[in-house]
Amino acid sequence: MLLELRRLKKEYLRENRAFVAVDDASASLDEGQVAFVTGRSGSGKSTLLNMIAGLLKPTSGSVVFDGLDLSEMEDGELSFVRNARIGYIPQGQSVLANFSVLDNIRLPFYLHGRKGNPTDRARHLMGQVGILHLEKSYPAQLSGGELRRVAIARSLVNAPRLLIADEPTGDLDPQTTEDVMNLFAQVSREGVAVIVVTHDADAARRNGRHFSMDAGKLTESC
Amino acid sequence: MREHTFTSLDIALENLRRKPFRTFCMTAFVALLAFVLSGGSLLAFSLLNGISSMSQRLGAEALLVPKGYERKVEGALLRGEPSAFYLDGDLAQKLMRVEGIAQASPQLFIATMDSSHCAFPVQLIGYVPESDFVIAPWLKKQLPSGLRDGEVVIGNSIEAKPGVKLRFFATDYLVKAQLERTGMGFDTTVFFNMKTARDTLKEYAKYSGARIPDLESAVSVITVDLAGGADPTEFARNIRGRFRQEGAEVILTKSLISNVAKGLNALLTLIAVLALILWALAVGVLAILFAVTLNERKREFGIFRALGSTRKKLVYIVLSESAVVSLGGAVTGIALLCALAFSFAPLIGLTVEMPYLQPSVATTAFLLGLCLAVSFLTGALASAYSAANIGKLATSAILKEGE
Repeated sequence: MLLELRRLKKEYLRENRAFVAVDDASASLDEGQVAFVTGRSGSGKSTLLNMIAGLLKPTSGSVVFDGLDLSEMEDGELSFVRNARIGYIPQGQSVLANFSVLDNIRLPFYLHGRKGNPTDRARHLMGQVGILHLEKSYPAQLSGGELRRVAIARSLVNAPRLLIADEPTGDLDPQTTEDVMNLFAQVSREGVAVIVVTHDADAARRNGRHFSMDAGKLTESC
Repeated sequence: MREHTFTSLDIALENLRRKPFRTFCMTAFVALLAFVLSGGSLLAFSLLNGISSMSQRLGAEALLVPKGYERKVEGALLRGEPSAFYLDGDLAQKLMRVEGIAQASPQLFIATMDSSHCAFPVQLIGYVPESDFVIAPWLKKQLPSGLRDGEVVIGNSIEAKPGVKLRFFATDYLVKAQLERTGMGFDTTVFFNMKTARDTLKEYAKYSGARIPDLESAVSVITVDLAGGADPTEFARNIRGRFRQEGAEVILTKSLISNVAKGLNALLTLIAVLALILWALAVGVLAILFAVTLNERKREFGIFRALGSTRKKLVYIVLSESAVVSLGGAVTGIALLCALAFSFAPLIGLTVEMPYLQPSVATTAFLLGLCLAVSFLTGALASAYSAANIGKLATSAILKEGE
């Protein structure tokens, strides 16, 4: 088992009253599996993803990833795990405006002082997502679909074991959505576990496990 | 295409390079701070150095001068304003014999003219090498053989070199030496011995039409050193009581220096207060600039967090950006100050109307280095709060986007 969520709970204070964003969520995921998480806005999907990615500490419960309890780890260690083993695609435009497409994709490789040159791998990934011709371009020159492809290529540069994508197709046309989803399917076939939070109406027909969230409760559909 | 690694500094440099206007504005602000801080410090040190040089150079305890010409004497000594004024020879002799005087020596002041028979308008001072105790010891260092008739020694700001001849009242004088900088009127003064001065005085009288009572024995100033135990204030009272009616006045150099020092203290306080206000303002404005900029960029830093950056790395990136901006600004401001201050030092000296002597190269370098460090640290300090909070801000930016 690659990922296990154990009775995960996240509570916030809103106007001095406790607000439960994620309530007792438990689930597990194996290598190569794709999980789609759907739900209304504010249902707790992104909070759940951020806890899985180690960006947010759960109020209670734990996230065990690759044998490591993320909720027990310090920032440095956790950041390294996120960088090396988790590819994370945040919601919205997440490509860094000051860096070229190639530099955006290579950047995660360098964040923890790795030795080596990721350029060949970055170009290979750019070829896979169809943006090789854009390597010298800057984000301001790209379309929404192209930006999303950059973010996907970047999330894969360190060969992660888990890919997390938060609304990766939110503002894309049907054809580009299809391309992106096919990319995730391809990645999962290479052994990477993929979690996709989506509003995509067609998510239900896609191959993979399907979860829904409602008022912080995570439920797997059969 | 870059092939090097992305250290925090690389990332910071790329961020700064891609936002040239923002980078320029912040750098310019630090440059302004560095310019004013180093300019203020250099001005303050130059004035302090000037007054210290003045108190060393004015080796006499008192100056006996013609009544009503005290300001002219000050102008000639402090700022090199060409002046000519005379005491009657007999009066001068009586003054030199007043009790309480240990040594006294006369000086003759002549103002050259802006005309074809003079090289340029300048103060000429004739002194008696045998009795002088103010200028002679100081000239002796540079001219051990002494000054012969027809020879002159020039102040540091006069544009001539030893070996050339300068023309005053249609007579050529050989420049024997040039003095080191004093920061006071001596820098624009030409010195010669009393015999040459007497000859020149006659020419001066001829060309200017000035009525000088006694060309053979008139003097302008008598420099006086008091005997041990003599009270300068009592001495001044005595001179005024006995010789004021005859047209003599006394200037105590201690009071002269103290008056200049008083004016200087007021100026230094003003400079210090302005520098402090500017520094506090700079810290505040830069802190706001960094805070606003980073708040606008929290999403960008949130992405770094999502990609696996530690909070510490984000702090390093922010501090690297502020360090580069601060260092660039500090170096630019100080370079600009150096270009202006060293090119226009004499003009600055004239403008402040006080003894102005730039400190030695070592002191100046230390001073500028200190200003560079303060300006640099100010930028870094101003970004410290924002830098410390960027990790939290960045994470919350990424989280909120998803909610």
